[in-house]
Amino acid sequence: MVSMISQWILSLLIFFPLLGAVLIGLVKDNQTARHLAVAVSVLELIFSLHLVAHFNADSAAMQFAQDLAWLPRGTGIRYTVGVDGISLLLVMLTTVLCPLVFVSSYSSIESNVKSFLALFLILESAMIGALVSLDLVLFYVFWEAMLIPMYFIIGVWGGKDRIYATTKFFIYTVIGSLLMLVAFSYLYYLHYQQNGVFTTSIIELYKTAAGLPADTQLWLFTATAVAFAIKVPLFPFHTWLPDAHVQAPTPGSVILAGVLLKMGTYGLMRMSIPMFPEGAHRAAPVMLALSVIGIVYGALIAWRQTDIKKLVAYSSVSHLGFVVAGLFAFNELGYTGALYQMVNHGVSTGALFLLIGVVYERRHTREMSEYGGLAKQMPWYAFFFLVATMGSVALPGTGGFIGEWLILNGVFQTYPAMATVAGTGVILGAIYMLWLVLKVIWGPLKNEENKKLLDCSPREAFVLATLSIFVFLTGFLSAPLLAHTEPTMKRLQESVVNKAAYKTELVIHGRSQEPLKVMMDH
Amino acid sequence: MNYQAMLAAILLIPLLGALLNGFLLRSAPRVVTVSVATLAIFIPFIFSCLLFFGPVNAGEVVRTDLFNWISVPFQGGHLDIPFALTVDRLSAILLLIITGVGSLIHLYAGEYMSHEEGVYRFFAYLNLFVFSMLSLVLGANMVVTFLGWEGVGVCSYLLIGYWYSDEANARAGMKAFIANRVGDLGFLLAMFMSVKLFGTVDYSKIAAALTNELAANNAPMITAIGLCLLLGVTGKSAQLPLYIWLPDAMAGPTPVSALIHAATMVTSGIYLMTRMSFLLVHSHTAMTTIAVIGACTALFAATIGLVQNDIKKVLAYSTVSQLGFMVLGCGVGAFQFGVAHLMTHAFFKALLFLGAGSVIHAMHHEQDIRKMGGLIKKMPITGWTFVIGTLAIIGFPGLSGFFSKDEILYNAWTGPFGHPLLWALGAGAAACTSFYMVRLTYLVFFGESRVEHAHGHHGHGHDHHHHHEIHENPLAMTLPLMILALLSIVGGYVSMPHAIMHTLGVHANENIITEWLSPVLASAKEVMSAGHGEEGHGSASLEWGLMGASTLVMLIMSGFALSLYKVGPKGGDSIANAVGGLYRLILDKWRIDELYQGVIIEPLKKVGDAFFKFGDRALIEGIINEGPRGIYLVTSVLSDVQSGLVRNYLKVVFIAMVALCAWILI
Repeated sequence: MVSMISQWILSLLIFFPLLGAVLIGLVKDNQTARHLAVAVSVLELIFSLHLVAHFNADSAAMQFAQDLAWLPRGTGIRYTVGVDGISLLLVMLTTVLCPLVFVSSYSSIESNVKSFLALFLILESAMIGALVSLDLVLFYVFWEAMLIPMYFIIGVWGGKDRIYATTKFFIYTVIGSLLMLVAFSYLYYLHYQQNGVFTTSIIELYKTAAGLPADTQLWLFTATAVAFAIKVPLFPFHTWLPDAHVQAPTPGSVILAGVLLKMGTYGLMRMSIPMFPEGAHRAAPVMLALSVIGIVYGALIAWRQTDIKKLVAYSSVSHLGFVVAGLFAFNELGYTGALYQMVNHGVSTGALFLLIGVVYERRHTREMSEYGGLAKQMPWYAFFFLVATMGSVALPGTGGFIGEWLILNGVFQTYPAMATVAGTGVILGAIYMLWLVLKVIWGPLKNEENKKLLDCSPREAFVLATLSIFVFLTGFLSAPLLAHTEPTMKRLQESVVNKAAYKTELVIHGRSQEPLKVMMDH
Repeated sequence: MNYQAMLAAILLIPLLGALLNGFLLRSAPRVVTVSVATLAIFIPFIFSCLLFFGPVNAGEVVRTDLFNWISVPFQGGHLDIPFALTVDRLSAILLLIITGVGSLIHLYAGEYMSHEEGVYRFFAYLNLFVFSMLSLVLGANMVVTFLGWEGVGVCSYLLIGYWYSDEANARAGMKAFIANRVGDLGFLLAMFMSVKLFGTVDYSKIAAALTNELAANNAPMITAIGLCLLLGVTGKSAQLPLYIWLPDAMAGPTPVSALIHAATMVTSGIYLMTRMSFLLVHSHTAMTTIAVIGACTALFAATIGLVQNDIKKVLAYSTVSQLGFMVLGCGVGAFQFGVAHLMTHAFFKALLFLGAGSVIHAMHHEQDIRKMGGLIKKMPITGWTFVIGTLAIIGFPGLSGFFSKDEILYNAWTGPFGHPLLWALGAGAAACTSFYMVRLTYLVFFGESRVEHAHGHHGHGHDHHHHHEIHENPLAMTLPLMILALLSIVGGYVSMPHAIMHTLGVHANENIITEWLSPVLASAKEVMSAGHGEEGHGSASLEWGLMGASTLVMLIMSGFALSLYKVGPKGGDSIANAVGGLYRLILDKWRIDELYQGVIIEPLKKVGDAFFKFGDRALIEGIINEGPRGIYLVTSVLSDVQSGLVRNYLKVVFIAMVALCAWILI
């Protein structure tokens, strides 16, 4: 039974939200639809716990794998999915954040409720799909599929300039996607040239790609890295993000910052670096320089914003700069830190966007000067705001600290000067976040409008309390959490250091009498 | 209960207290809140005593590994950072100070905050602070220490801005956190270098790995670690150039100033340097820099203290200055006396702050010493204990400050990294200390009363207007004063100078503190004696001479202050007028805040604005919006230049695709 579930669990995780979206369409009234969406996402979370419970932490293999025929055999395009140490954490981040977003959307989304919920469930499917795909075409399909719901979420439920923002978001991402498509097509063709068969299996293409001449690798690396860097977003490809965030409705911002941005860093970690290790080595100084510039640049701009959401959006540019820097430190400290920081950033920045949503729903403004002294009127709100802030500034005891510490430590081991400059981001992070807290939470409660504000409703408090608990849990339970990723990180390091193909295999459960059987079916 | 469990309990009980008060007991009666908070510190104090007089006294090191915290593959092996606690003779001293002085201050604060609403928040922060401080000193590796290091920073931030409705208080908290963060970057870099050099951040493992050979081969890195740690110290222990946050931190309630900004948190730097002494002594550059920073801070801050009129501001600059003495002690290689002064200072400065708080409390938040005077008649216990505190800090012979400060000054001259110039700076600072402390004490407690009877100034949400005579505070506030006064008298005997010991006929090779800390400082001592010969270049006659000199200076400056201010606060005006410009410069605290604002903060803001306006808006957006237009002009394929954005974007896509395909095909 367990192996049966293990075999189908990823497909279930991909398609269950989709099914939920269909069901939403059948439901008549909005309130039932909301409950249904919450139920679907909570079930999805429960399903995903199966991964945690049965994941073999001593293995770097692609577990819970499924490898089915999909497109005509000659194309080599298959339905291949699997989870390793990298995707496990991010899948869990997604399944944890989605129910919280649905719970928060009860008050933040009031028009076209059913469409919103259905689109959001489709988005969840696509995100999970992109994270577990082990076939380039499958990955690409999910990658593009994430774009469409988000395009509408910003475009329909967004703020005043939503059309401009969502178009910008769309075009930017599409440009990246096309670059990626070109690179992958070329790789597909090269593999055929060398082996006489077509394949889009990522595991197979690792071998082909790592054997390419350095120049070719650099070009292919660059094409894919730009695609992912736009999504991250890495300086100087970031200007779509502040617009998208400011215009997006609260749930959109949360999932954008929480999961969608991580697709970029995930792509770098899953594709660009292990596929083209030689190219990655050559590009590393540039990637590091861009991330370090982004850390400082994003932080300084964040500090000077008066729109709270814009401030947090620019803080993401800075934080994601840390993540990319960690990836290109080329040691396990850096990768582990980067992966962990993706999760932490999702939690603390997700919480910050929810917090902004709470006051936005009450006051319909995001101008910092409109607030001040909220601690007096909304003590619990102030408490959650401080917790999210401490997570964001990477205080020891929060997950952010573990992530940032590992990243900076990793970068320091290879590029001490870069790490030192990046380290100033730690100071600047405190400056803009505490500035925000000063202007919103502390000070006198002057504005008459704010004297009528109600503290967090039980629903809001539940969502924020959950995220607050995660902020601290990740800060102390990092060793058991990261133990799941360790073999994967070691493999990645082997591949990068030796500039050799990244080696992994599918573990398909329940194929025979043996509990686990390694399958290589190409 | 075994010692391991006891050690864990010492750390966790204050955390439990914070959680109880912060969440469960929010609406509990005040007495419950205060009792829970105080017990959460007092029980660990009892455990600390048991540890101190038990295994630690016997020379053992107790270690508890709570859980595996960070564990990452690294260079073929593993970087494991357990959440581990350890208590040795150094941390045991700090344990007693933190929980002992901490208990007294909690007791005091229960009364001091008795007019406040919602004190659960205050006591939750205070307990959380003690938890952080304890993890700082108990951490077996640098990361656990760093948890405490930043934790005390956050609690300090929250407590300085406790009365957040006044934005100035919240700003002071923010300033403290950010200045500390600058120092924290130094600490972070020191950790990363330790990982690079030793592959570990565990103190005992670093100590074991650091051989003389390794140190010699990696001299620049060792110096860099030392200087990065020093940056951390200048932040946390308020030294030049990062001290600026401490005077502003006085915005917090006075018990906070006593506990955090005098007795414990600000002395973390001295703890850290002593903990890492085995490494620091390998770098002459680092040690000398530490000594110079300490000596300069001691003198610099003392000069500002000369002219302040706010009772807490005088004490704040005094703290900065005294911390400078401790840093100087560490820098010249006399770590044990840095620690001794840390301890005596914890007693007398906590006493002075609590005394100041007692005055402020009795006077309904008046802090201007020009509006005080003659208070000793109305508040005898506060007054006389304050006098004892003053005598202790100025180094009156026989009181605690005399011994600990004297040993630092003697070593500043004769220590392994000492120099007569360092002594001179320290002696200058000591001279200023005598002046400003006697001035302060006299203006507050003696002479004519200048108390105004209209209480116009009622800050901090005190809307009730009670208007009675100034009188002594209840026992909950005066008992801690008396205990601390006693400790301020006798605390210094642990660091009795050799010369006095010999005269008194004490038959011991070393004074108590040197003896006690010898296991902690053994390897540092070995390195120092190898580099500088046995016992430096001191002698009994020099020791007597320096002691006599500093006593004489103390007496002269105290007498000078008395003679000036016996006529009241205007007594110093003639001198102030004589040196006009210099006086105003010192009164404005040498305008260092303005300097930082103008040279660092404002330019950074401009850079941020420029990045946004020119970087993001003009340059990047410009290229993205105008780029397609440019490409159009070059290629001249299409004619609808003025079309909407979307089409322009799509053109980029198209052209990029074409270009890439072309490149691939060629």
